Amino acid sequence: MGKINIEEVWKNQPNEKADLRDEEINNIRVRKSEGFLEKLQKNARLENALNISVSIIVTVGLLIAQKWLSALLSAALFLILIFYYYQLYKELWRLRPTADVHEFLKILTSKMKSFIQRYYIGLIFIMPLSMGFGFWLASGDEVDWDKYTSPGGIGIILAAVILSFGLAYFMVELMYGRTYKKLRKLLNELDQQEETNNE
Amino acid sequence: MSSEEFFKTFIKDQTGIITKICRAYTDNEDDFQDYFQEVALQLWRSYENFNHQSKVSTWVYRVALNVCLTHFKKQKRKVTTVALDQIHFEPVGFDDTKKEQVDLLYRSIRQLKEIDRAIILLYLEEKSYKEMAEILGMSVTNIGAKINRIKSQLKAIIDGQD
Repeated sequence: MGKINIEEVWKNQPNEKADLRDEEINNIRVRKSEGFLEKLQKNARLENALNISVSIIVTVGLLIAQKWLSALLSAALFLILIFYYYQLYKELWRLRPTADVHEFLKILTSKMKSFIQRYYIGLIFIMPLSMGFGFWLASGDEVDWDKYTSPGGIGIILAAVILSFGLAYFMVELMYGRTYKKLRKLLNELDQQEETNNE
Repeated sequence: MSSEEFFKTFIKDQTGIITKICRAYTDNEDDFQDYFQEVALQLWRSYENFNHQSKVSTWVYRVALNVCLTHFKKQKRKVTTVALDQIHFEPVGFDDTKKEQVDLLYRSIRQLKEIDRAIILLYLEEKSYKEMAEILGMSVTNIGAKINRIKSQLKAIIDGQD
C-alpha cells in the first residue's frame, strides 16, 4: 500500500451524519445500559435488597424469641443500612461520564476502592460480630464458654472464620477485582504520562 | 422542538465523532453498535447537566471517551443490542483504496495503549492542545511531547502492517 499520511487518511474518511428513525432513537433511550456506572448501581441495589431481607428476618426472629433489646438493635441497624444505601444510591445515580477523562477515572477508581474497602470492613468486623451474636443467641441466657474454648470449638470457629474470609475475598475479586485493576491501569497510564513529562 | 426531536438532531450532528471514537475502541460490528448506543444513551442522560461552560464538542468527546474507556465487557456475552440501520463499523459507499487505508489506520490505532488512542484521536481531529487538555485532564505542556511519541509509534505499527 506504500507509505500513508495518517493526517490525510483521517481527513478523507467520510464524516457521517446518520438520520436515525424514531424507533431507533426510542430504542437507544430505553436501552438497558451495560456501562460501568450501571454495574455499580446494580450491585448497590442488590446489596441493599440482601441487607434489608436479612435485617427483617433477624428482627422478626428476635421479636418471636422475645429478645427485645436485640430486636431493637437489629431494627436500628436496619434503619442505618436503609439510610446508608439511600445516600450511596443517590451519589451513584448523580455520577455521569461528563468529567475530563482523568477526573472520571479517578472518581470511578475511588468509588471502586470504597466498595472493596466496605466489603473488607464487613469481612473483618461485621462477620465475626455476627458469628459472636449467633453463638450468643444459640447459647440462650447461659453462655457455655467451655464449649467454645475447647480445641474442637476453637477449630470450628477458626474454620468458619477462614471460610468466610475466603468466600468474601473470592466475591470481592469476582465482582470488582478485575475491573478495579483495569481502572488503576488506565489511571496509571495517564499519571505516568504526566510524571514522565514533569521529570 | 420535543426532547426526542432534539436528541435525534443532536445525535445526527455528532454521529461522525461518536463513530470515530467507537471504531478506535472496538474491532467488530456488534461491539461497535453496542458502544455507539451506550455513548448515545449516556449523552442523552447527561445532557440536562451540561452547563455550557465548555464547547459541546468537548463535552461529547469527554462522554464518548469515558464510556469507551470504561465499557468493560465480559468476553462471552450475549449481544442484545438492536443494530442501527445507518450506522456501521465500516463506512459504506466509500472508495476501495481509501477504505483500505482508513481500515489500516484504525487497525493500527487499536494496537496503541487505550489512553494513547484517545490522545491520537484528538490530535487527528485537529483539536487544540488546550481543548485536548480539557478533554483528557492532562496539562497542555505534556500533550505536545506525547503526540510526537505516539505518532512515531503509530507510523511504526502501520509500516509493520503494510
